[in-house]
Amino acid sequence: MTATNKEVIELFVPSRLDFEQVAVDAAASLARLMGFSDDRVEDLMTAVGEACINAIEHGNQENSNVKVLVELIADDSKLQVDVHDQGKGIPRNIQKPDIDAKIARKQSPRGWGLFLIQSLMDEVEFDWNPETGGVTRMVIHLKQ
Amino acid sequence: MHRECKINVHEDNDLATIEVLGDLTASAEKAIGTAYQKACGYNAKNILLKFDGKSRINSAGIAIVINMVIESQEKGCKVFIAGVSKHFRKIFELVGLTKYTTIVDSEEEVRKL
Repeated sequence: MTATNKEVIELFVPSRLDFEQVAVDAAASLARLMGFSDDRVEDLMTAVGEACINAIEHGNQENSNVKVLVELIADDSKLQVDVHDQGKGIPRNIQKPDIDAKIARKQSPRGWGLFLIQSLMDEVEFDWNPETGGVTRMVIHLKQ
Repeated sequence: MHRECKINVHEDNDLATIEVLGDLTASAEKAIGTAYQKACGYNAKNILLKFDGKSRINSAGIAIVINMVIESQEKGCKVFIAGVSKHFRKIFELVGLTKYTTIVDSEEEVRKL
């Protein structure tokens, strides 16, 4: 596929764990169509999965009446994935994960999601709006 | 959704092997925990977590491995990882788990160490 113009795909994902895989598979399919390498598609799959899990668990509190909106926005040079939930956004005081501290039982073994998203994507932004809720915005560029 | 996780455990000559067929995510936590306790029961010096080459891991899966490493260290066991994809290995390197586990190509490689 050559996305000469901006193409937008919207998915409304139930706030139930495991359904994040639907968004992961959709993002991977689009990235492959756009010509991303297998390595970058793998990066994207992990990041989208983590963003959706955060939205399901923390943003929407696994409330089955609320959906996670995943927007896939493709153009010639990049793929942007916006994951929207109805939570209060990412807390500012979140502890940076430290493997040594975790092995020493000084930190919870969990808490790697944001780290993985930030490590694997080219651009990441966390935003929150009182009317629309939280959004994790991730971008990967085709030529990097 | 995720590939269902099927797990087998066996022991041979001080190496307890936990074979994981599927993805290492939160839904595998209970099964992995049970398998790990069975592996510990062999009192082996080394534990090998052997994947099928297609397994994916997420943040919850990383936490499962961290818990395994903590318990193994307390028991004086070393944790080895085999059968991982290039991306799986990248995730292990990013989070720093390669500092506490050894990634090998095969079960045989652990026996030679």
